[in-house]
Amino acid sequence: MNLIDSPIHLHSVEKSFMQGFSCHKILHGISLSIHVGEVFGFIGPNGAGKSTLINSIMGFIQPESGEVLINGVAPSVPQSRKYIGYLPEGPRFYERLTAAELLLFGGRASGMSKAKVCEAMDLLLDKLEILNAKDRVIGTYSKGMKQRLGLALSLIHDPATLILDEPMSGLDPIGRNLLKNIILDLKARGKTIFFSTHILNDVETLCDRIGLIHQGRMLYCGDVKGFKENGMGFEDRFMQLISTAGNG
Amino acid sequence: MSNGISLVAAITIKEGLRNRAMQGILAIAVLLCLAYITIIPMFAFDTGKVAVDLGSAFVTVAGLAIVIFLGIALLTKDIHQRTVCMILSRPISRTDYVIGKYCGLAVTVLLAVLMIAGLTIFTSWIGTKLILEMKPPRNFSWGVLSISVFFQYLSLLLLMAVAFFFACLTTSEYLSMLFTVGIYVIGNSLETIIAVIQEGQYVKVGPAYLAILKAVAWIFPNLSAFDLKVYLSYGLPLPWSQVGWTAAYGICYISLLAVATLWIFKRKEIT
Repeated sequence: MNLIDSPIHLHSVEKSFMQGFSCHKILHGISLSIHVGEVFGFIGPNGAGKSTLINSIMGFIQPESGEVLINGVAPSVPQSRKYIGYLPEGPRFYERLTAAELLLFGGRASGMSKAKVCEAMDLLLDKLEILNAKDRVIGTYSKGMKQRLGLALSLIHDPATLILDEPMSGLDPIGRNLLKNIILDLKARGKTIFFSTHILNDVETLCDRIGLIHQGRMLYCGDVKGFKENGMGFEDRFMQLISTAGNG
Repeated sequence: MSNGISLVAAITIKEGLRNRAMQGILAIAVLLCLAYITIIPMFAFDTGKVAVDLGSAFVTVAGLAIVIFLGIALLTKDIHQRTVCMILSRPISRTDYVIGKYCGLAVTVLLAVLMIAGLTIFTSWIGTKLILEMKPPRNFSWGVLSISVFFQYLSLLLLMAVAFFFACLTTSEYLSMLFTVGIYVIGNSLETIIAVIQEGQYVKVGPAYLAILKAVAWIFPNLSAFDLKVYLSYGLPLPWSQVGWTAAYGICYISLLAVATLWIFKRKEIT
């Protein structure tokens, strides 16, 4: 596949962390290509290596070996992130800024004019139902509101690719439903979405393809239909693959 | 200045000025300035020198508190709580982030220093009207006062560069604070210690110990060199070549620390 058709491309990515004097391997030769316009769900139990892989894609950590490319460029090159929207798990912000100031920063940093950011900001905050809190300092926001603001920040420059780390965490059922609709809307607009989650239900309804990671190894990567073998339910198949890998 | 640097600097200034620590430090500085009028009459002579010493001390203490409590806290929070991801997920390089953060805090500290210095000068002026014994120092010069405040600011910038270096190097906010305060104490006292030892009147040490101290003095920043208040309080003429070399020394030291900080931060894993 041409790299331009693959906004996120990983080849044999390996990563270890030191724990005391011992080296703990988190990622074992992960290879993955995300296609343009697809919604890719990245699933796995806690500590499987999902966030580590996302951190490698964003350039926050450096893999020991292997290759990570965003739109054909290494993540260490700042311009590789120009068309990427990123939502970290449990996003943290400058608590004394207002949502408007934060989004203005995000938009301007991604090359938008002030007028365009202001125009996009109101639409986005309205869509995420936090427009009334636009001029409030972020320190006064609830956890769910911060999650919505994080999503607004990742979407402010209308990126072609979205990387969302546990986007549903901290959201109430109304917020989750809202986020699902937003993802479906973005999918309809041809955006590429890569997200990690624990919630298998969401993956089944939203994703074109999924990747299952466990103990740093990719157990499955393919379409959702292919995942459900022999009429097994999504959750049962998930448990089966995890337990087989655990026994192996 | 690149777009990334100016954007990071702008949000740092906003965040810094709205920080409660900053507001608390400034409030204490204002109270100290007011207390200053009551302290001055307690001195029978040299009130001008006392006024300069106290005013200078307020600027230093407030600036130091801002660098330690605000500068280090903002940077370590960014790294360890992953707030920095909000910035680095944009097309902004790590170099732009560190330089932007430093520039933003430099402007915040400058505003605080100017405010406290202005308030001290205003309080002194009120003092000369209200307190008969209070006189301006001999040969008082606004030029020397401005240069003295500038050098205090330069020493704070140097200390902030030290704080940035340790914030990137260590994994704890408290360790960064401890190391920075340690450098501040050493930087202000090492020159005096060496001078006292060399005089040999009060302390006697072996030549090896003195050589080690002199070698250490090359590593640690000589912060006492930035203290020009003696020229202001005694009305002495400024030795311009010394002033020029001190400024060059400060800028070079800050640049070296910036290079080391950037080298570490570019390799730092943000997990």
